[in-house]
Amino acid sequence: MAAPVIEFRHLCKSYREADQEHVVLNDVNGEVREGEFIVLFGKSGCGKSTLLNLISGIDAPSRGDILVEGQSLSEMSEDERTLFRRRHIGFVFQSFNLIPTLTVRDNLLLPLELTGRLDNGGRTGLVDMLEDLDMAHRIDYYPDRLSTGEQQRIAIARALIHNPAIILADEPTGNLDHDTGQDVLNLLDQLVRRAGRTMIMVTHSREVIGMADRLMTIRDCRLEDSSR
Amino acid sequence: MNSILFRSSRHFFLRHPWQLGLAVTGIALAVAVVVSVDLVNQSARYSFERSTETIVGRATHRIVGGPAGLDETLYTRMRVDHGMRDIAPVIEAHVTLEKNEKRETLTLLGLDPFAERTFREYAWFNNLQNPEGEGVFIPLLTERNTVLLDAGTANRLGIGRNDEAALVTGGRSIPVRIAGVLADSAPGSSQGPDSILLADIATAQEVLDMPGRINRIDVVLGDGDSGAKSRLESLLPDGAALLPSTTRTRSLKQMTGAFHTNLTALSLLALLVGMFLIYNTMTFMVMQRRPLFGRLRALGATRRQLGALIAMEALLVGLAASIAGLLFGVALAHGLLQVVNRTINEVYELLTASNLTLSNLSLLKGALLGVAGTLAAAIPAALEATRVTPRQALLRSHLESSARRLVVPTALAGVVALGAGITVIQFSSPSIGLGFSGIFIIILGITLLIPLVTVVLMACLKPLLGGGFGISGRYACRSITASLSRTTAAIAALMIAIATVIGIGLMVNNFRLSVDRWLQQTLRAEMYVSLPSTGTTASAHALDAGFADAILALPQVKAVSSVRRINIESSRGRTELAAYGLNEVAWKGFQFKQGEADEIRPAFQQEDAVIVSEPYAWRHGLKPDDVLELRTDNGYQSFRVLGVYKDYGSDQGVVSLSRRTYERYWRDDRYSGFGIYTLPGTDMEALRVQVKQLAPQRDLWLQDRNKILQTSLEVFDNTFVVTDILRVLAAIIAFIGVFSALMALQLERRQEHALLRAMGFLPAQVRRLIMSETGLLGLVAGLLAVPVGCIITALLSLVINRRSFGWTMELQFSADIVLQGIVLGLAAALLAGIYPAWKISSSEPAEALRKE
Repeated sequence: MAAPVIEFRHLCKSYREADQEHVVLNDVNGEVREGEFIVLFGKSGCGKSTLLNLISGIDAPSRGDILVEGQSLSEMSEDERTLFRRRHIGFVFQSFNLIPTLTVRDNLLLPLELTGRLDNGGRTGLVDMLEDLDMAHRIDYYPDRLSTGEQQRIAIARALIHNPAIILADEPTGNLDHDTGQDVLNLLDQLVRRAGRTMIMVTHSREVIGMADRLMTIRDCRLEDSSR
Repeated sequence: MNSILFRSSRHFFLRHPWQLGLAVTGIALAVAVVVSVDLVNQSARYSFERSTETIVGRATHRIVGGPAGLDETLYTRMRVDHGMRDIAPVIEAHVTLEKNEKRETLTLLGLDPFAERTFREYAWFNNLQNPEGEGVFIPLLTERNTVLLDAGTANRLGIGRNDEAALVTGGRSIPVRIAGVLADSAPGSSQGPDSILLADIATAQEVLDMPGRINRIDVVLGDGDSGAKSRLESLLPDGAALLPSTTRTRSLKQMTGAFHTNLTALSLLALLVGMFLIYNTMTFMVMQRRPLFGRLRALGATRRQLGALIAMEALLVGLAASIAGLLFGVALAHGLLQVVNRTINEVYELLTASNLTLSNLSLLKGALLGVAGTLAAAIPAALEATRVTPRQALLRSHLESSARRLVVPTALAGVVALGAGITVIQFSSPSIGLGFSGIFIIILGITLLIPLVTVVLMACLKPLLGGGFGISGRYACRSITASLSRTTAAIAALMIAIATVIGIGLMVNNFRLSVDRWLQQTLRAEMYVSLPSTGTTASAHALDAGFADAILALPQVKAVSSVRRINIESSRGRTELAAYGLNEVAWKGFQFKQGEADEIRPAFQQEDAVIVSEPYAWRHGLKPDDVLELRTDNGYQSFRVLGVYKDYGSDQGVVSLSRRTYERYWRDDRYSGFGIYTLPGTDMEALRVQVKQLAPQRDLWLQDRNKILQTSLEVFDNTFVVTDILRVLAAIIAFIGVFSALMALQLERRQEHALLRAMGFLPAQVRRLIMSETGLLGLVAGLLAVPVGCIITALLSLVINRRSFGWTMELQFSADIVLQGIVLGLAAALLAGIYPAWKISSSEPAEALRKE
């Protein structure tokens, strides 16, 4: 059995809204192994996106700890978490979140620049990836000139271009029609799973559940492992 | 107005209170500057008219004599022997009144209270009462050195009835008693006299040391009463003349007119900055909501409804800003007026302690600027936002790709506008309005070049910034080019504001430099001596030839030059005349703009000829070989103009002639001052003591060359305090404008920055990114502001100043001022970036992503 890549230890996250403490996650425990495809399931607002943000270090836990590749995120400073995220995490958002003022090329170059791989190899890899995605002809387009499916394909390419070990996808098909959503899932399956990367995907799609190795559900602020 | 649309607009402003606040503040400041300058101009003019009315009264004519005035027996003869009633003797001089270490320069009017009923009712004996109704004219007539003081000055100096004070004039200090305080509101006048010291003729003669003499006789002549006029003229002795009073008023008006024109020019510049900032603010507020407008259009809102919504917003913002601007403008005017009063008193030697007059017209103008200007500034953005299709409005890239497509055509239009502006300026020399139109077109031209310059500069700077700041630097360059629709507007606003600051700064600097060089060249003697002058008393107080001989007899003195300054009438109006007794060295002090010094000198010494200063030549259209009629003690006499010389001493201009020529036509053997030329190695301090001992009873004004240079430049700097205040205000308006624009620009991109954080940008990198972006915007604005600032300088120096004062000045572009401008741009932009940088980098990216 592969070693755990991500471990949750008594993880808690709460927010203060007005004068009230709003608990989102409470005593979450569990682990994700290398190369696993996990589907994170749960009602809207149950804390799925929050958990992804905690795994990536975008957000910090209120209590407890997350270990990613054996490193405790709680012990890391804000900057250390960012540097960690930069190298190890690729993010795909529901709303694609491409930078509107940058072209497709610049959107993809950004992670390469951040990780210091903006060399000829990186640039060639970018073109190859766009060709694989059949998007090379859109390289100088601005995001809002692309269809929603195309935007999500570019968002996936951006999440993968710097070769991260973990992909976090937050409802990547949520804004897409069925066929386009299916294309995107196939793409993720091909580029992520078959390449042996770990992926955690938040989704409401039952079809995706069928493709996953494991299903985790957040219910009443706790994480339930529904392994098949 | 659709109430739901209105609610959406209200919600936008409630969510962006700082943006609304900055917009209102920026517009309010622009309104305040224009209103305050206008109010100051109006108040100074009103106060000037009041003071003229106080002094001239209802006289239609005046009888004047030569430099020594008139013999008082002329008045007695006319009144007693010829039964003339509508005449009044007048002595007028500027004096200083001191009490408890407070001092103020006032106009001393020596009058005959019994003759004043027709002229100045407040000075008629029947009206000379203290507030309790007790007459005060008897002590005024019977007691020695008693005077009456106006209520305003009494209040300022803390002087009451029967108090003693020191009257300083002609280097002497004379104790006077204040017999009473003139009532605030004089009969027949809307307001009471101000800065006036009233004395009986005899007292005035005594304190001014002019026994038996008066300055003038005021006369009231009926319209078309040519018989009375001829009869009067037939009684006049040689050297006296009957002149209409209007010539004096006109000359005084001309004097301050130039100053007001210059002030107005500066306020027009502030207005220009204000208008651009209003435009920028309104454009930003509309552009930011372009996607919202797209959604509203998609939901069925018509173009007309959106247009009305934007107009309503502009109207409300304009109204709020105008009210705030008017209030601040009035407060600012109070402060500016003090500075302007000081300048007018110092430079023009006019005593106008003006109070602020709230002119409805000025306030209306300011309100109109705020409301109509804001409405007009919102029109282009409103048209753009309502013309695009709902789909286009939702696409940011449509806006940006349109902006990029238009880069080259816009730049070409800019070049055309630049050409047009330069052409307009070339033909603008007689008109300040045309000059400003030219500068406006040039600024428009350069504004149109901004997108191209930005794209090119960013391409050049990208590798450089990439090296220095890494990805943040490169991303900043890319991002500025990618958001041209936003960045261009911010750069334009900042550029114009910095250009104004550079322009005014360079103009003052050039002017100062010109004055400094002129003083260095003109002041040839090592030491200068004269009696302290408070303006019009210059001709009354004078030194005699014996004093000059005594100075020349001192062992360390090599030579003495002399000057006599008097005010006379000429065919061109009231004229300051300077008669010089110059040696070879002193003559070299004249820098001729027209004519050759060596060729002019013999004729200057021998012939009936004069040289005129540059402002005098400009004002009266004189050139060499023209003829000028001057009123001498022998009546009007023609003098040939030999040359035009540089002179920054007076913006009204001076006519100069040789002492020899002066003595031929004026019966005056006195002098206003002497220049002392010493042998090498002279101890100047010892010389000063020796010269003072030559006239121990006089408080001589004795200064060496360096001290005069220093004092003159101090006076110069004081004169430009108001200019500097306006310059600082322009800088503040600029800062608020750019702060507002950059804040909007950055906060609009909160999500983008959150996304960057999610992708691995460190908080410090996001901060650097924001600071790099705002810094780059500031740098581009600063760089573009340099040529625009230089154009503004050239226009202010060559057109506005020339037109206002008649001075030409050297054009030199000081690297310091230019650097200051660029640093100001960078600093304003960087400062404006600090808050968004801190706010964005310290906020949780998860929060921003959740709100997405």
